Amino acid sequence: MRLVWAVACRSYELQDDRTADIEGAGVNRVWVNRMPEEVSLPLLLRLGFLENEPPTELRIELYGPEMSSFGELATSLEGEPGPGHRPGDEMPMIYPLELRFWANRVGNYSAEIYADGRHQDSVFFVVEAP
Amino acid sequence: MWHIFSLRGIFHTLRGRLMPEQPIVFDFTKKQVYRASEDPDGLTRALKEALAIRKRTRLTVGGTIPPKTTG
Repeated sequence: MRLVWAVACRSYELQDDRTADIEGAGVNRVWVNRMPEEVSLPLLLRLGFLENEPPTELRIELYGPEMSSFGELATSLEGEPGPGHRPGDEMPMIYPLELRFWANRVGNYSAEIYADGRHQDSVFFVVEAP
Repeated sequence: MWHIFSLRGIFHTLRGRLMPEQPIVFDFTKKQVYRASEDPDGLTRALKEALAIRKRTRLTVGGTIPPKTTG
């Protein structure tokens, strides 16, 4: 499994042909009215799977200001052939994710994404308050 | 169309089916990973998700992202 891309966004709509209409791709600021506040950040991942690849781990580590750790969470994902799949083709899939956490400080946050045991991308965003 | 999609989303959720568009929630507060329909908070949130997801998934909990500006 490899991560093709990861993007934070305002909203998205998945289509039946395994594409996604994304609004606000690359958004990197989240506003909260008070602290602490629960934040929910949509994140779209496009992953490529090999045929017959067993379920593979996707792990995310979340860090807050000054590298304060929110911990790490993992799940197993597997691909499945889509319409028009030909033998030997990679199986691309878009997985919608949602990062939920209680922000207790303003500042820089990052989601470190590991797929198949390898660090593959970082998604940075800023939590701000009035 | 919105009503059709919403009803279908609720229907699928109540049947326990995992719609492919259901987000996988990495919940760092609960220290759990789950599908939106399996939220430990129960059916209320699952229904809310079903309503929100089919049309558009937006930030509905807590923090907000400022709307896009037109120029």
